[in-house]
Amino acid sequence: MRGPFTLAACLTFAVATTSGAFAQDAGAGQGRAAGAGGQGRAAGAGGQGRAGGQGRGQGRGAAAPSAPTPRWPDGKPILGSVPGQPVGGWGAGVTTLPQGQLDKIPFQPWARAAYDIRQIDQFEPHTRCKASGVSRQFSTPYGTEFVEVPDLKRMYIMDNGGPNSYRIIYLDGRSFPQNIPLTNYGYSIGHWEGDTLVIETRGLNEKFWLDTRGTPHTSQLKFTERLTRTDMNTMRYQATIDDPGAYTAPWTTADFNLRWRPGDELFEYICQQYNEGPTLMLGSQEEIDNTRFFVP
Amino acid sequence: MKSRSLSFVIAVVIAAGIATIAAQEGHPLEGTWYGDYSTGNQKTDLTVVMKWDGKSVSGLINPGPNSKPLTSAVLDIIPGKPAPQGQQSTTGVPPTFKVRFDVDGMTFEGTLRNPVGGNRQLVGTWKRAAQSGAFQIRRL
Repeated sequence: MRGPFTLAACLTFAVATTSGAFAQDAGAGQGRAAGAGGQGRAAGAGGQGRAGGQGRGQGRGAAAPSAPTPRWPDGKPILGSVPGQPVGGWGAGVTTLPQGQLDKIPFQPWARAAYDIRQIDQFEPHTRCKASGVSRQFSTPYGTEFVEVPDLKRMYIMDNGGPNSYRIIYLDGRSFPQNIPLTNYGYSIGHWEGDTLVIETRGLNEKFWLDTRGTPHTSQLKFTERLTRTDMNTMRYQATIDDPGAYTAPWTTADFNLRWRPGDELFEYICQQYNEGPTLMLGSQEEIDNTRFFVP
Repeated sequence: MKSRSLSFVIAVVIAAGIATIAAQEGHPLEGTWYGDYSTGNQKTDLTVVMKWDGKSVSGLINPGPNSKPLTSAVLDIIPGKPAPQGQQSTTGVPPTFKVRFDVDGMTFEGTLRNPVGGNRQLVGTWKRAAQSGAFQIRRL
């Protein structure tokens, strides 16, 4: 047990160090209270446990009356915090892309079998602090914070919990480079279609799941997200999965709604260090396979 | 002696690093596998590299000047059974992944253990003409 966790702790430290500039000292105690990364399937305090449904702040029910969509001086919607108002973030959501419509998803046979197995073993990389890109980022414990930098024509989507890392969305009209190195967050380019930010991501590796339920993908994935802030408190989210390595045709999810949580902002969260329930990370209360030198 | 210990430690650290980096959640056969096949009491090292392009699996054994391409590679899936309603997910029966590949006149047939996990293994038997034996390889 010590070997793998020592190695994992070193890797986590490296990630935490590089993202440390974005951390806020808003409550180390919050991290500890979350226990196993906050996203244990069985426990999931503040997370998106399978048994507990979707995370706090997320849901499809009727929203409270809300202020209109905030906008920048040029009229584009503000997707993050509004200058001059308290900082906030988006609550965790998007726990399952198929949303109960499994039979309509064009899985390749191996991908459906992989999905079925994951319903049993629940051995998700994210619960072991592995950065998990695109849609999976929106079910990170404690949600996400959008940091828009109009002058730089880019946006950062920060994980508040979990791996405590971030994704860059380029908004400067660039094209995808040739031979994108495969990474957990991939290479994301955004453009506006009316009030909807369309984000296309390529260059994703195969080291994470697309959602907490285990929707599989390969490195051939082209992932398109459509985000529309319909009012101050609501972000509509939809994704299209185009992955000939895992599906026989592209498919598009139903809409998800993320909920705005005023006052939420980044805080120091060191996923591995604060993990006080390693067995909870496997969901079914199973023990980690100690016969291997590393934890996959 | 000291330098040998140091070399061992460095080798272990590098191996662990490579293994950690290589862990992936995509197609079950994609990646590099290492193990051996046996002929009687004799074991022979075996490295298999497999790649999934979305339609078929290709690959080779023993990368290097003596590598041999896989002439065929097939993944068959035997469906499992989900957990009954209201019961722990672990009471379900997972699908079974059967693998067969041909290379250099040999046919390998086996079953994946932990087929979508990071520590997956392929275990089975091989045959060539009148020869046969067991093999097992583990995905790095």
